[in-house]
Amino acid sequence: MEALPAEALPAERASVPLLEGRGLHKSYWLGEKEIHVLRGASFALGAGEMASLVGPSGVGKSTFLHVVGTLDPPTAGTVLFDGQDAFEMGEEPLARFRNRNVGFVFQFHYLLPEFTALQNTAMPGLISRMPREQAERVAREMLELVGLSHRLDHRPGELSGGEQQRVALARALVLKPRLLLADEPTGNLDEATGEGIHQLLLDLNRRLGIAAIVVTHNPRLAERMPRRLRLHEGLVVEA
Amino acid sequence: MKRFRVRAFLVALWLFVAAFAAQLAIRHLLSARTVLSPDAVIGLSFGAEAVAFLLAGFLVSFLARGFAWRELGAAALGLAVVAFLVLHRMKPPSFSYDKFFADTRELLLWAALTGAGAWLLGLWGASFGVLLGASSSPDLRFAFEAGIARTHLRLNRRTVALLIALGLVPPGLLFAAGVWTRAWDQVARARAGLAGPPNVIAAMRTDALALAVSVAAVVAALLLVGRWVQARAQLAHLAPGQRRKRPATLVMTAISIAGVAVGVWALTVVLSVMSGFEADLKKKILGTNAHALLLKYSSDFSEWKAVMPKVLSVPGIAGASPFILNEVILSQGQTPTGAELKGIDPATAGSVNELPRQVIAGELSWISEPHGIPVTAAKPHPSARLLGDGEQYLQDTYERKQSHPDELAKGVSPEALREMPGICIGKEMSHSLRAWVGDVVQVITPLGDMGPTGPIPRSRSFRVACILYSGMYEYDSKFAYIGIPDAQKFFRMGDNVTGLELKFRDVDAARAEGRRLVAALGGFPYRVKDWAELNRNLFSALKLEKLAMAIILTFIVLVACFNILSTLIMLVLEKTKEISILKSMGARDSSVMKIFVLEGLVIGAIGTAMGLLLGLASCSFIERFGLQLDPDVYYISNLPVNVDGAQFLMVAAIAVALSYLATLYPATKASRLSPVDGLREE
Repeated sequence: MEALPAEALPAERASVPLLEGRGLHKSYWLGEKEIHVLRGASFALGAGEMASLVGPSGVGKSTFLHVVGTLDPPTAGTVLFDGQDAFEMGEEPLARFRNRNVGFVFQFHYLLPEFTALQNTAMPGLISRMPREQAERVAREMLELVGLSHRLDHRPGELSGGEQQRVALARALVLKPRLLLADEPTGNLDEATGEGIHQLLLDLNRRLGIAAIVVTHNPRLAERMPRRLRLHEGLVVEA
Repeated sequence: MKRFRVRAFLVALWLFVAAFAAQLAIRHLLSARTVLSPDAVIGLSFGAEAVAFLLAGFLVSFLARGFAWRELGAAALGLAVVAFLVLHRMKPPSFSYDKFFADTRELLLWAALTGAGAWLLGLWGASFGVLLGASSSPDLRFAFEAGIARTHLRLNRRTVALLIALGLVPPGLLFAAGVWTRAWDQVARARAGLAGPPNVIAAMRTDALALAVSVAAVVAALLLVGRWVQARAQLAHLAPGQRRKRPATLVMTAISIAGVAVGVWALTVVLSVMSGFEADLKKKILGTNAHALLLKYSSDFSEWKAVMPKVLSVPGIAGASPFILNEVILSQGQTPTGAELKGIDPATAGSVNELPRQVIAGELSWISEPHGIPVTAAKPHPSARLLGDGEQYLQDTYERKQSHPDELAKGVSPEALREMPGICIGKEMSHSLRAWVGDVVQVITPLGDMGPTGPIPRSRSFRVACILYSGMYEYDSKFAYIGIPDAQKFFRMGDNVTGLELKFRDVDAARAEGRRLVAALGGFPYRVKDWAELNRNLFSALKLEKLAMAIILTFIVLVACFNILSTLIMLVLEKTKEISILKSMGARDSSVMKIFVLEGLVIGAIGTAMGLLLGLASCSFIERFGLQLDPDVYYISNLPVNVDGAQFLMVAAIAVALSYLATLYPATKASRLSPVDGLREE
């Protein structure tokens, strides 16, 4: 598996960051009370760049990931991907965009319990209407890459926590997206297993050239990231 | 809120009005150019209109990129206005009986119904559009959606096997019960000496396949019960934690399937029984009456002998026989009864109706050869099989007449007897007149000569030549038959007859064949009245009853579909997280919708299949078991059933269509869930 060469990006786009947030506001209504989670957060992430995002619990790290991952539209502000406004795309192009360009890993693995590791990993391929054989082939390759070639036909319930998270990682990366968004991927794992996942994340970033934002509470992981971001009072600041 | 799309609205309006115009045109063309019945014309034209509304909604959903309920609603409103204006100009006949033309209020109702129908059918069509990706680019594929739907319903190999077993075993047992009651009945008949053992063996041999199937059903049922007991025993050994928990939605799914199955079952069985009644009635009516009557607009039908060969040469005509019909009073001794006296030609009557086969005592041919009528009591035919106590009545009457030979033709000289013409009467009439074969009855017609004090009724004596049994109380109590020459003489008709009775090769084409015959005879003054026209009130009452039953029972299916609705809503709530995960992986809204629509359709289809099998098995059971009815009330000894494939298909289509409709609300709700709805928790 080779890293994506930087020249693969169109030359005129090289200056445009892969992901950019401009003045992102997000607020929820909790009964009569409006809770402001993001208050004009702006940031940019280049292609292949890897950043950690830290901040105390409840500060809105997950909300931030959902907004920049195009799952949740911001109350105000724009999310630009390659300089293009993601939420202007319409439902189906946005879904296709997510399918091709964004991979999510959540704190809880969120695998489909009825499907095997292979089927779970093949799901993004099937959603993109790949033929089943092809989807399963790329899924098998990706599972091999995360070191799970011996667990293809196990269901999530039959896997350990670390293995589950590795399947989730394989699923997020199976279509070789350009952006990986991980929401405390190791928050639920013991230290040793978490360390394995961290290593894998860094390794995959190096090998596949996938840009990533990793939300974490783990200071050691945050330390090892090339770039460190902090969410503070609804704004993104460099840590 | 999406904006109102004017283009979609205009296209919808145009398509709706075109569909309405097409309906009017088709109705006009079909009724003017073809011989289809009015019901068929209405069904075809409105069916075409409904399909056009569906297609219009489908197309508009792509233009409006969604359900387009506002655009379709506005277009339907426009259609209602157009329909009102058009109908107002056309002045269509009223649907009520007390008015000839429809008044404004009725037209308003029709226009409103047209609009509402267009809106609902349009939305239905639009739902197909949305499902196929009308909101952006079309996408007809559903492979991974089907895979996910399958896991929601737990349709693995084991449950499919269980479903097949549960779907086949109960109908199989019902079928087996029917087969064995009949076999038991045959053995009982053999014991009673009614049928010899060879007959029983022959009957069983024809039923060999049925017996084999029923044995298989019982074996399968035992295996299923055995497997269940085994599973229970295994379950008892498991610790509480080891038992796999069954989600509530799975139980609800099973209940939904059962609900649809019960609804479809009820609908098919009731409709089959109603069809059975209809078919039975038709058989009895056509047994006594011809398929159609060839009549003249004047009373001088004397050229019938010349017309007969012409009629018989028309292709599609299987038989023709002349008849004379008049109302008379029949009496024997002091008992009078009103009757329809029909003059027939015994030689050709058999070619148009079943009269010769309805004879239970005497001979039909004796009405033209009265010399053959025996002076002593005639024995009832051994082959005559009657309902309830009918056989006993025949035997008793015969024995009474035999033991009192002097009662027969009392006080009439043998010479006069020999000259007397013959008459055939129905079984019920024979009962009420106490007349047996050989008895003398008086026939009185009020169309008599003028006497000094006014018209004097004319009467003549006839000897009973035969007794008929049709199975219809009305016919058996009202009809009496004499020969054509006797009728012509009695009613002073000269050479005339009332008309010709006709039999067609294809009963159901009677209307078309009748028109062809009239054309072949040169049209006016000839005309043909077919059996459906002659018995219109009876058959339309039956049809209305069947329609009402179908609508009422469709409500059972409808209720079952509400089960599907609530099951799917539960399922959507249960799977919110999964929907979010799928959406985060890039699943489209229409994909999520497809998942739940597929689930509802699978539930509906499984339930429908089970219901159809149960219905089929029940019909077979009713037919073999022979559910007893009170013959005095229904004049049918057993509950009749008529399994009509088209009817079963119709029920299946209704059930599946309703289950599709039931999926729309939950599936749309699920597709509109935001991806983060299921991710926020925890």
